[in-house]
Amino acid sequence: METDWTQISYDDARQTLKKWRECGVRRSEEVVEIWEHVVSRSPSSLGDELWVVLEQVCIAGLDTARVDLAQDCIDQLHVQFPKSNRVLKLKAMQLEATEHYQKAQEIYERLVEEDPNNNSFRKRKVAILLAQGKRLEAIRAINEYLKIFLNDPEAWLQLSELFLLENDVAKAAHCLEECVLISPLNSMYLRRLGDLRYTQGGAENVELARAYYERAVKINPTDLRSQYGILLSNNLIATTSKNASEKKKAGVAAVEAIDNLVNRYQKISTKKNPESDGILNCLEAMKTTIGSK
Amino acid sequence: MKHQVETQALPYSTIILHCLKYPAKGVVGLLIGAKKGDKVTVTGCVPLCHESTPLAPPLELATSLVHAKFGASLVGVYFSNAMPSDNSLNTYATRLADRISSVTSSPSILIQVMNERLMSDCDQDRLVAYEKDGDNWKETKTIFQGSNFLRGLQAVIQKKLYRELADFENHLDNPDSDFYNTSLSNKLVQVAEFRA
Repeated sequence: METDWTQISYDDARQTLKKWRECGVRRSEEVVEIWEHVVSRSPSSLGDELWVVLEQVCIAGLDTARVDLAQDCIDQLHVQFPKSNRVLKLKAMQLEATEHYQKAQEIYERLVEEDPNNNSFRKRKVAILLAQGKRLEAIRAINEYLKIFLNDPEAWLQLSELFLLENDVAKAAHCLEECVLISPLNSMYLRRLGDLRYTQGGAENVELARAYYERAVKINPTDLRSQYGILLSNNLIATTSKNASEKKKAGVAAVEAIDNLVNRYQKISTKKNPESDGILNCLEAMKTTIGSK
Repeated sequence: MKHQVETQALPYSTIILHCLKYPAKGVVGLLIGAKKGDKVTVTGCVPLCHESTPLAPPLELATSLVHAKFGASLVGVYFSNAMPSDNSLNTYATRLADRISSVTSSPSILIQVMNERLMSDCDQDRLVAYEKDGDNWKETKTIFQGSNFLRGLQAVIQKKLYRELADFENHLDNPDSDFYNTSLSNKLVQVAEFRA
């Protein structure tokens, strides 16, 4: 059963909002619920935390088409910080949400001029292009942005997705390579790069994919996606490789990967996931098929 | 036009809930059903992912798991685009549908959610169906069950049941989540009084 956010305690509400703010998770509808049903009953209890919460609620409001709520937050923030660029950015985001892209664009351009080192204003300019579906212009804009802020994985991930929408898997993979260079111990980037190389296909890329999955699992041994990745890449190598010893090695590794997955699924209670037994049977069947090759 | 496509209330609602759970993203899923003559009846669906560019590994896995469970009842693919005004066919979805056709050795159907019709006051069919004609996907006829069951769907949405929906990606992030949505389906039948 999901949590009913309208019924949680004030302290839980405050902690939840803080947690979501810090990890940057997008749960806008729930943020609005927590604010309206719990926190807004006594905003002053937040002390100085009120201002960041208002900023958070404002963005959530814009994300859920609650322009009224967002306006209310902006008004309060404006009274407290009349000259703040951060509040002006929220104003511009409100213009974006109501599709006044040109006006928003003008504000961001002014903000970038005033504070060239603040990358968030530049990112909003890209967001405007994305909202209008101007994919190629967005690719150009992100490339420009990355010339200055080379170490921004979020920008590389966005660029990667845009290349995928253009069906350019090779370029999308290159973007993820940049992410891996920026944080080599991030298992999510390694696994995503594995997924991209696997999707790209061809013997060399599938072998690369296998290597990335293996590194991802070393860093994060419970990552189910990488475990499946090891199974898929080895299985493909075992069926397509022309080298007999490579073939055999990959077959053994695929079976080993299945054993790890089986182990994982056996720990899942069928009360939580009534279908886990069915998946187990599939894995066992796969094992027999691979074993007989 | 060769096929007519009818989507039963339960999969219809599940597809809409998948979209509502991820309002900022496109979604993709598989369709379960039966073909009889020129009619395809969609009786179930399996939500796969919430991105417009799903990569091969999760799709291959989900396809083989779902095919193992449902066999020839795996009849196609549904998807929605991320942008409300974008009505184009997503190539990742069409490629997956081609793959389903080759796995089941039978032509698959493709269903698109028309995002702009997801407004509660819209009484049009939210789904558009396509079938393959030569190399192209062509729109085909849908049989729409009408406003009665949209009222049931509205009740489900008001209860925010979309938050309980799990897709295959959710399952990969947490294997406790059931991407066949067994318990959600039971609730949908209860709340919306769908005939199961």
